[in-house]
Amino acid sequence: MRVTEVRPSEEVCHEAGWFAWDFYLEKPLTEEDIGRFRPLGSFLYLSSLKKPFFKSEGEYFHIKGIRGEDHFRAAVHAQHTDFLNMLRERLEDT
Amino acid sequence: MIYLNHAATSWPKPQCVVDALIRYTQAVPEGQGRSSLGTGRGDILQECRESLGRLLGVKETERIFLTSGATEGANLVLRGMDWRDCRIYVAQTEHNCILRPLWNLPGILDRVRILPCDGKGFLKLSALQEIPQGKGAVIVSHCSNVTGAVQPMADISEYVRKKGYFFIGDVSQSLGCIPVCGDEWGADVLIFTGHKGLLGPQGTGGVYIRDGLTPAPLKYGGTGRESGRLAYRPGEYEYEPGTQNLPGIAALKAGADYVYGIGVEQIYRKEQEDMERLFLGLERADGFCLFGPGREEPRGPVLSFEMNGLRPADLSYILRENYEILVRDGLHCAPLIHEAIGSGKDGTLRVSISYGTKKEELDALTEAVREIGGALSHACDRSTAF
Repeated sequence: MRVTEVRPSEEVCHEAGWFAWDFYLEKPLTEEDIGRFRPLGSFLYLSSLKKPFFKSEGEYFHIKGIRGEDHFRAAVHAQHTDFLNMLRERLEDT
Repeated sequence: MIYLNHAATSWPKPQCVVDALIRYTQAVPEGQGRSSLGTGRGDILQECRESLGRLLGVKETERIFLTSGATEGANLVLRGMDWRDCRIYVAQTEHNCILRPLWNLPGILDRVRILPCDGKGFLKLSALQEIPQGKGAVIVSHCSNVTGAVQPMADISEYVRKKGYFFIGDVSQSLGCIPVCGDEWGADVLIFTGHKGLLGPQGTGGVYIRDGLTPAPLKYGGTGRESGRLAYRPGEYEYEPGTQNLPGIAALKAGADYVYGIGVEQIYRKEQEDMERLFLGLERADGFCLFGPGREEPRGPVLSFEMNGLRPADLSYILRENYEILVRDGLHCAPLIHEAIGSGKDGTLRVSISYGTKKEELDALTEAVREIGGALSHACDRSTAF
């Protein structure tokens, strides 16, 4: 999974202390891609929705996206922005 | 796209509002009383005050001051009044446009008290009874922007005035949607915005300050009157210095007149019916928790809920991506109420409607939420139980 760009999300979740970034991908997310988020944290996949939704979350991060989209969203607490680099490396390694 | 975020800002605006904005921008500028140029169009500021006065239920329309919105109106009063030896009681339901001016006002916080609300967002009237005789102010929002609970303002005002305090009402979420009766309530101050129920543009709003209350202005500048006098004598202030947002004010007047033309009672009735339809639809969805007033209790055009297993932000994301439904998630800039209603640090998902909202749009939301609830209850691909 190659990440082409990471940019601040237009979604405003600062209110609860989260800051979000959108990760843009070379190709649309497949079910196999989504499976790579499973080990990161607590995982949920709503496959029966018209546009299947997934999320993976831990103590200081939230990841969510839609199968078939060329991007997903990662939100972290302000003091954990290093998670974003780790996430990118981890996804590009697999 | 289905827009159900009218408590943030109403959309679309009526054509008359758009037309007024364009017409005023294109017309020969008025002098705001500072020029020999007569446009023959009258004084848009005063006309707007009169239009607003009908909806605010106040006769002293010259005491309605136009600002950039409720936040500026609240700051003008809260930061401009002399609160020495005063206490300020603020409802737990309040928005940050009230809380932050207070919390950042030097030397006042130890004299600010929170008036608790119940689990639905209604102010506990017993807490009002416990307020000691004294001086200061009690600040209450007419309609909660989180739960939609509509407060009994006349009753609250009566308690407040008996105790010797000023009564400050924030009608930002109710004006244009729910009848507001400033004079009947005996309100000393009414804070409002122009871009929600009044259907005006963003960057408009104001504050009614009854005669006799004279907060020091936040801003000083040219007003076109008595320009040779540089310093004001205490209490003889002016509150609208500088060039005003006249196109916005013309559009706000158009919005207020549009609302008045339909009738606020009619708008309230229609929105009540729509909220009931929504309430009944959502009540039956699986894994679902509604916050705020019950079916029979007074509610504005706002409804908050959460769904077990999904954060409000996730639900909002799914609604937008899957169903093109726009709502709002989070604390809604009213951070204190969430403890009372039990909605937690992620807040709620809020649906808010307007007079123009269609029944099919509400049904689409209900159907979408049920589908999501169904998908959630059948989700076998989850690594941790929520």
